[in-house]
Amino acid sequence: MKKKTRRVFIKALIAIIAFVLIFFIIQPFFVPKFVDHDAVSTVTVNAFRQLESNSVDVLFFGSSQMFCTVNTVLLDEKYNIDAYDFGASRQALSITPYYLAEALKTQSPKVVAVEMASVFQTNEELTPMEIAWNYAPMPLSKEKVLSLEQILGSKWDAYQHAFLPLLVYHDRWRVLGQQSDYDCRYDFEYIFHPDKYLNLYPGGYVTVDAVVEQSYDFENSSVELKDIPAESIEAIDRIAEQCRARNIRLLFFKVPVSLWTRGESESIKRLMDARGLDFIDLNDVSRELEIDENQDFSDIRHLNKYGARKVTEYLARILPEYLSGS
Amino acid sequence: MSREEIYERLNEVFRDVFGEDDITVNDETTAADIDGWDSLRHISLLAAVEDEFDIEFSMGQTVKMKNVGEMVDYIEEEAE
Amino acid sequence: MRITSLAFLGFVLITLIVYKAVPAKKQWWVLLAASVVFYLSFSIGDIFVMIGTALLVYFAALGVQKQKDAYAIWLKENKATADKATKKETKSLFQKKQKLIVAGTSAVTIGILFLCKYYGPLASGVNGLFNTKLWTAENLLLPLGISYYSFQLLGYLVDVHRDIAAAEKNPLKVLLFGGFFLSIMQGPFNRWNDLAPQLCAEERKRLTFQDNRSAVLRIVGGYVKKLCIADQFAIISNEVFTNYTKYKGIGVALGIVCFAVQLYADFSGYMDIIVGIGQLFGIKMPENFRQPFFSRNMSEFWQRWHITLGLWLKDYVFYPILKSNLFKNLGKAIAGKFGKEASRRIPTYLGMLILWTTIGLWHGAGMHYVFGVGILQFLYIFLGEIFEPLFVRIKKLLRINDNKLYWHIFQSLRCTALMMFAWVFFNASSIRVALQILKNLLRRPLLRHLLAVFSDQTVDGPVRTLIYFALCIALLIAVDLLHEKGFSVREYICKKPYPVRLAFYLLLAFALVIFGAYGRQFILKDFIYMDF
Repeated sequence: MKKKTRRVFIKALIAIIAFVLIFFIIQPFFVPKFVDHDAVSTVTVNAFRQLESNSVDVLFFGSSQMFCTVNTVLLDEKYNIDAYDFGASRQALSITPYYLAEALKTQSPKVVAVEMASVFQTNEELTPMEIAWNYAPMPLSKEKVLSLEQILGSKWDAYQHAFLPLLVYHDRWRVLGQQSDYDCRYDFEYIFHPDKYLNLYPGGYVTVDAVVEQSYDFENSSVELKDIPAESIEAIDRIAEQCRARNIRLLFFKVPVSLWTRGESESIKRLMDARGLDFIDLNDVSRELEIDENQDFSDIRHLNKYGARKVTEYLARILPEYLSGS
Repeated sequence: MSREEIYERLNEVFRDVFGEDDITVNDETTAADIDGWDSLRHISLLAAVEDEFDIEFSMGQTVKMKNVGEMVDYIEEEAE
Repeated sequence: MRITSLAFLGFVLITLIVYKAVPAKKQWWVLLAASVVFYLSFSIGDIFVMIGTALLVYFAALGVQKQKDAYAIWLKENKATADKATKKETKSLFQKKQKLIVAGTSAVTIGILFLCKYYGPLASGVNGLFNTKLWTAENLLLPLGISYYSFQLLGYLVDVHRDIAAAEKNPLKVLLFGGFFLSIMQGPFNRWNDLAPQLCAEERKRLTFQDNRSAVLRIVGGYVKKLCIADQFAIISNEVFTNYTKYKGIGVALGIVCFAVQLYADFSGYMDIIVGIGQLFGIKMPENFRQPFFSRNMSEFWQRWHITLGLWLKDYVFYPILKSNLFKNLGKAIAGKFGKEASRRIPTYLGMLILWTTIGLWHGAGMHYVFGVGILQFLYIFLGEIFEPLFVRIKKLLRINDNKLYWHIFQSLRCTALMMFAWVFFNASSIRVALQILKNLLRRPLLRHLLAVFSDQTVDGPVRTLIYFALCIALLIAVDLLHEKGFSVREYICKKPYPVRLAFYLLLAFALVIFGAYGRQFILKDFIYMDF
């Protein structure tokens, strides 16, 4: 009887080991990896990790509005500023402190600049795809689990995303390996050789060529104030705290896009003033920047490479003050 | 009434109800053996048997009866 | 506690361990405690309704038993002296009292069921029609399992009255029978004589490794059916039935087919889980399905689909109606005018109509239930019977042989199509919606509409999903076909050496991991029959 029990035990053990083994072998295939230019996370994250440590002076954070705008190549070549756009598509502001913490593990920038486009987004509104864009490429760390727990509101969900992503992305058998040009939800493939793509977006900057005319009229936009969700306020405080602790100059900014109002801008200004933090809305200086609504935008939310150049050059003028003034 | 007599009369009832002239039932015959002996016909059959032997099946017997043998047992008992 | 949750599996495991640890005589206490815990995990207030019903039935059964015993004593004392007529008279006197108890108890039990399930919709219907302000019972929620335990407990009472079962002296055992955690949610309908002796057995047969293996395999298979098939098909059927105005032609057809597969996989998957768990406890539960889609006609379909409901209603509703004096007299009246055959058929059809209306009503208060799984089913069977002579003639003319395979396939497909038609009413939110869906079905069947079902809101990858669906259907048919031929896949796998079994288990496990409908993308769904 004892022998029989032992045999059952061994058989069960083999079954469990086999299950776990297969689970972790197939898991990577299901985790989203993005290589399309609409979804750059995997490449920018991987390229960031390849950077020499302490080689960047200015780190930009934020969503696509940031990495489509801040031309780090131009900053380097023309103004000799070493910068990197470290962000992900649709990044909620509540995710940014985590990206900052990860970045500070290898880099010691003098300036951190955070784009504020997603300040009004709540964690609840985050879609599974947006969560994937922001977290799937990031390496496993304590900060990752904590951040996931914070935005998902559940420890178990956070552990799944961090350690057992197969349980989260299992449904992707429907589209695995497929690519399509009309919906970026299909835009992924499993990257066996990430090095191949490392130079796709130098400095994390994504060049957008498309020109789509917009009706850009910031001055006459709505002045209605908007509530900033608690998670965004908390994120701002955490970012400020991290920078203070490291003696890093911090700048919040907003790039000019047509989907933005004076009311939204004013809401942020009031919050920042109360906290004594720097915030520059480049929409306020759009005349000075000579933003052209017929030429500088790629869509309602994004500047193209022409708009990006204008904004980058403006940033290049104000950055030296931050770089030296610490 | 002997069991044989009961069976003779019972066969007639079955032939009449199921409309087949060559039905012969015995102790082991069940609903599965006769084409058309489903829950719809079951009650018609019992009613016909009740008429033939002037007896009455209780609800308990109606649902419990497993084969023709049990039916005959009861007929034997009731119809002296 | 969802059956598809890890909490439920943990609950079953703990119950099982305790169950195996205590002596056989005490085991029913474990089952009772587990049933109470399980019920409380859903709702705390409702359990009093169930306990009340169980107590009522318990006392009623004792009352019926008392009348029986009294008659038995009388008979013993007067056997020699009383003549047949007196005996009969006395018997019917005692029986009348029994019937009174049974009728009264049934009235109360069905009354509670009516109040919780039907009164609200009825009252709001009346309010809408006549502009009255009747209380609509909006604060009354349907207690879990009420449609199941009410019937089950009444069945026990009637069985005592019919001399089929003896009245139970321990009220807790009656409560356990009514609220047994494996059947409380959505059946199967148990009979006292089948289940009670098993629940309260003093000795249990030892289960072999083989038994346990087969049980576990059945449980895992059930979960695969529910999570990998039913809930995946549900995405499409829900989309089509909810946004029914959006889809036409082949898109609607897809939704209808998906619902049929969903319903079968959902309910039979549940049965596999429940029966499998029962097997681990050494309790044999009745089956609800026997490869229904291979039926040759509609009455056969209902002998293979939701079997325990059909059997219960046959014994406790259909037969009593047909055997009632009213129906007997009706039969006699008809016999005098229209002959013997008509006297047999007409009361039977009338009884059937009542039976099917009851089945329809049992599913819910909506007219779409009454029609779809009630009157329509009656019409199918009734018209089939009426036109049978004609069909026989046509078959003779076309030289169709009943035993040929192609004819059987045709008949099965016909049954399936008829059921799919009925399930449109069943699954739609009202008859009006069902008719709209059927109207849209007849619109131009363009392929575009098929792909329209797979939009952003439903699922990605239409082609792969359709291939997956086809594979699921093929799998269901293949397994049912093997079972129909008397070959049990489960027994076959269980007898295979360990590596083969391991491979099979891993296959099922990863089917659950990858194709299972769980996680953020899926809305967790309860089993369909839990709502009834």
